[in-house]
Amino acid sequence: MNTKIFNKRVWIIFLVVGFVTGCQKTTKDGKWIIGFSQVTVKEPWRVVFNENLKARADLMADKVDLIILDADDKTENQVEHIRTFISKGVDAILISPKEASGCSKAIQEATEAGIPVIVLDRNTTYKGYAAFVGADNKVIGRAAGAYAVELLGGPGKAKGKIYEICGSLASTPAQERRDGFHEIVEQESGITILGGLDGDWKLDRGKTIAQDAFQVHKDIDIVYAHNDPMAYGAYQAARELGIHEHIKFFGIDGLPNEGCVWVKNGILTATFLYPTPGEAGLNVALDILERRKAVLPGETITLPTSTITQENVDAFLK
Amino acid sequence: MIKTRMNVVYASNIKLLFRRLGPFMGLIAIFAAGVFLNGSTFLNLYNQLNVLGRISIIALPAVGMTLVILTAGIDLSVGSMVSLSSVVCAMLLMERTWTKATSIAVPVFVFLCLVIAFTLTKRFLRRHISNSKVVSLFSLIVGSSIGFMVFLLMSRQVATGFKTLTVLLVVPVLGLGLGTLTGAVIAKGKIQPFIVTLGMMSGAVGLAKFIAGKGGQIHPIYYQATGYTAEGTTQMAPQSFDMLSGKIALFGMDLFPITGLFFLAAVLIVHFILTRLRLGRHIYAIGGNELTARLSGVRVERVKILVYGISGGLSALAGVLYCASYTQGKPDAGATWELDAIAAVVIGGTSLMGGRGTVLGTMVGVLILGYLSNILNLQEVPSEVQDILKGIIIIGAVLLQEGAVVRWFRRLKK
Amino acid sequence: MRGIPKHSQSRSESLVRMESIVKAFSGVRVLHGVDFEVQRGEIMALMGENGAGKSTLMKILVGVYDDWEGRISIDETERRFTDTREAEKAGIAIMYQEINMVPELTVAENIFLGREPCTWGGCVDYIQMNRMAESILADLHFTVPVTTPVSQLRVGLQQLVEIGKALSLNARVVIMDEPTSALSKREIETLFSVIEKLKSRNVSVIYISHRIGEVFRVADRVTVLRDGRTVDIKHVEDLNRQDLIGMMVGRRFDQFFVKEGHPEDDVVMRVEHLTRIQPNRQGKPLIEDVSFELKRGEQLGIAGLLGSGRTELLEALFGVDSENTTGTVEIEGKAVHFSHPHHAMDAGMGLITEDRKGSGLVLGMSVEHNMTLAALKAILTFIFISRKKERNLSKAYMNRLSINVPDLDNPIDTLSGGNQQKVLLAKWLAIHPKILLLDEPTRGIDVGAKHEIYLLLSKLVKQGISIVIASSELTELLSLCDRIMVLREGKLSAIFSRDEATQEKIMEAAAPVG
Repeated sequence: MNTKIFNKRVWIIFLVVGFVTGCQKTTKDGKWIIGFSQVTVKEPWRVVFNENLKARADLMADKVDLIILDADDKTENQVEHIRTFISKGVDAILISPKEASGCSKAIQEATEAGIPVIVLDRNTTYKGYAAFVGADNKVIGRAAGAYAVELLGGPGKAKGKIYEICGSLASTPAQERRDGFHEIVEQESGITILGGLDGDWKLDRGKTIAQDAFQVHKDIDIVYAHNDPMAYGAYQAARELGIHEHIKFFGIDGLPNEGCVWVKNGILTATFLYPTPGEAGLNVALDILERRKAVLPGETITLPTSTITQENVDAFLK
Repeated sequence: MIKTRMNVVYASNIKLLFRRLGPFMGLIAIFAAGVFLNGSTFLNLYNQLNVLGRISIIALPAVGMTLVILTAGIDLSVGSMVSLSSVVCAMLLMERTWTKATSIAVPVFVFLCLVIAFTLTKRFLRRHISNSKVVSLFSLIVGSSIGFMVFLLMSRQVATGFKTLTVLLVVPVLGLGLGTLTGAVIAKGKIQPFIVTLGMMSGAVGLAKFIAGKGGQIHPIYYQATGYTAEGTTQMAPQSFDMLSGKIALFGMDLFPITGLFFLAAVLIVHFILTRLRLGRHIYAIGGNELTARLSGVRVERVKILVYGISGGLSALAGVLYCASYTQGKPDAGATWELDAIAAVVIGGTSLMGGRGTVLGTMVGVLILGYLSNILNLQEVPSEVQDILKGIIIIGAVLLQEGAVVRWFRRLKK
Repeated sequence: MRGIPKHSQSRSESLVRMESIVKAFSGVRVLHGVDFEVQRGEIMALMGENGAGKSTLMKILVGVYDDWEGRISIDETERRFTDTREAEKAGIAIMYQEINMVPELTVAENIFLGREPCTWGGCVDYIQMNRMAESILADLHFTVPVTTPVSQLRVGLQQLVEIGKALSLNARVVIMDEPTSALSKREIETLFSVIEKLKSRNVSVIYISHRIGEVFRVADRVTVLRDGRTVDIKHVEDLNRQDLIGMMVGRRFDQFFVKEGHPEDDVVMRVEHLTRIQPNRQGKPLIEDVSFELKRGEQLGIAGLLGSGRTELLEALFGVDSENTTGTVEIEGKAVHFSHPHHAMDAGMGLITEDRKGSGLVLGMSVEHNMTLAALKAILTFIFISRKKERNLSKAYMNRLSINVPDLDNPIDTLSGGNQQKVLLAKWLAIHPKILLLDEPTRGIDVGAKHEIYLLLSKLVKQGISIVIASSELTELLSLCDRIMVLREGKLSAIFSRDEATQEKIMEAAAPVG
């Protein structure tokens, strides 16, 4: 058939040339290549997360080459990121996973292939990774619980209704923030915790949940949301109904340009610092690669937290 | 006249060329692009097996979809079926009591065993005994007893957690059952497949969320093996289940993903059906001209029900493989997979009007989509751009196959 | 009964004149130089058998086709319409047998579809539109409010709306195709008075009908077409019923085909009181109380006009639409009830449908696959289709029926009509039927292929296969059949034996009374 352009020899030469030029060297000039899979950038906290991480990596640009990939909030993409990293032979992998179980097999694969994996922010079911870096969300939950009890009358005498808006319950932070909070608050018989719906860390979801909640429950004292955007969304809902003066809003994250600003402006009563684990994770990775540190599978590195209120917010507003 | 004749012949040759060999040529092109852009990273065994392993899961619904589309129908519910079955699978493996998952999976399976036993006994006895009432009664007894025995076996596994082989049997049967229901509504109710499968799509997801509990929570899988424990959990899934996500290894080298075996088996079996069985001919006839098919003695309703049943069964099997590969079952596991399945079928040369196409083409379509996303991942192209490119390839493939490009060229010549 | 006064002055200028019209479809000529002419204010009847060319001629006049030869003159000016809109503008309107309106829209909306009067803002001016519609329909004794959706009107009233639409387009000639087939007696009277009104306004009417009685009541002149040619144009007053029938069928019957073999004595199928009602349970039954016998090795013909129920009868015998069919059918003495075509096939019956492309073949499939579709059971090894057996079977039938195909794997739509029909024949012969039902088996096929098919059918009956042929070609039936049954409006009108049948008798039995 003269319509086909299938000249076999041309194709073979083409393939060989392509093969040679396409081969990617992975260890460029002795730098460490580190791959990071971020679950999504649709949350402000994660935008800051990426920015902080990138800033730190830029400071070390002479020895670190950082690849940041966005998974568009899909587990399958994160699995593919890991496999891509393995294919390219990176030296270490950082990952902030969407769900506890989805990436487990891929992380196992990478670990078994000799690539240290550092899990950030959300924990996974597979614990054989090199290290986990994140704040202890239970501690944060307990801190929020303690502060709530204090505002409602103090331990033993507290009375009131708290409405809880959870983050994505598929991820460990939400589970732990809930559990820690309940641990403290449930000791008070005078306090009822309502709600507990899944707001998926998003502002609009928080607002929708709050709108419906305010229709059903007329006398809420505190709204406890697992992150600042959701708390802000709840605030907006209350504002539209004119009841925002009567309710106190708790969030978590404490970003200087966001949660802290809201505390300063009186929108949020309190937020709890959830430091972005990127820089710490990068440090751990380098420690392992430069052999300063032995790999103890499943090691957990906990980052500290703080309670941020009107009184101390200025310190965090840098 | 001769000139136009030659143009017509010329064009129809090209159209046929694109339709038959087009997908294959596309595959070669994309493979070459992969080699060109990524070299050994693309070509190495690890990457190739990874791609193969991953696409094998979405390939199963695509194979089922081929059959459905060949009858001029469509099945929008395959993605939801994957989600539902991943949830059911995870719960069957991990839970140790009767749950909503077992409440739906076990009865369906028992019922199927009952029906099969009943039908086989009836067929066998009818040759020897003439009294139809006696035959029916006896078959009913045999069927029920077999059903009861199956029920007892299942109940034991409910308490100890299901075994891998049981799950591989029970969950696809659930999909087969739901697919058959869909097919029955379409065939007997004479309602458009688009609407019915749309309803099933929504219903299956809702059912998945309901079964999973708490508005649709994720059910992770834990194993005894190193690293896979959660605080306080003592329940484990059988280690053999983990094998489904693994590869066949020889002499220390990974050779072929297990999911790939399922893919291959599905393609071969369906190809066999389409080319060597009467059922295959009937499927092509229904898609080509349903009225003619009926008037030629084809039992159109039965074939349609079967085809949707197979689609459901294969999608459910994909859900089991998903569960193994991602160690979890969740109600949005297969979300938007129906679009990828349809895309693969269309790129592979099957016409959405029905009556034309092959499952080998679908296989090529699945590979093309798989390599495309793999190459773009290796090049670190963001996923939005990947989606745009995917759309362009789908539209381009259809235009080439339907001859629109050729017609456009001809008009330019004038 | 002469109802409408005829105009006595004759005008030499015609409104519509069609001269030497020739039209072919895929090389087969259907009009061989037809002449047709209508005067102003005249009611011209157009008659002829099925396939004589009436609808084709009218479609040419209305602008549906644009590849024909000849001359069309409107008001003695030559015109050539490239689409229906042009013809509409020239004043030619047509009322098809199937109502051509949008059911959910109102009467007024349908009349002004596409040319709705608008306000300054661009919105539809409903008040104006309804008023205009009312005034148009007032003359036609139309009393229903113009805001009624058309779907709620009876067919008779719907037709009046169509006429109203034609008038609003300032039509000067209205073509009516079988207008009374769905009307009650009273509605027919209304229609006639409307036609009279049109005539008084100098609007011409071309009246296509099989109902000879109506033609005599309404028309001034009648043009008779036969086999794509004009037989004659005569004033109605100069004719009687026999003359008309003779004009329609009176061709020289050269029996160019000699029939061999005759039927045996035993009855292979007996049909009693077969009735099939319409799916929507309304209206007249499609076939009503038909009973007949079929002998082994017999060729039984079914004659009748369009809509008389021939196709419906064959379908009912084959198990199509069994929910709406009652009556008893016995095959070789055993009572049978087919609820699906494959039951009929198991009992040894085959059906070759009228529309081979639409319901006989699968156009996307190859020649071979089409041929074996009904007989897949015969080419199996265990449960697999044996390619070898399939190829042998198709090759055998190719030779037996002399089908000319370069490659059996070619798609079937590359074959000529004649060859396609032969493939269909092969398809059904492959199941070794006892009874073969054929619906218009030689439609659209050239003479040579026709002859071959007739020979094949003869061979089949000699082997003891019984054949039922429904056809609108009277010569075909007269050449082939041992007996011919005639259906009229769903009922059995007559059965003629070979010796006594003539074209006139058949036509007489087929044409509706009155």
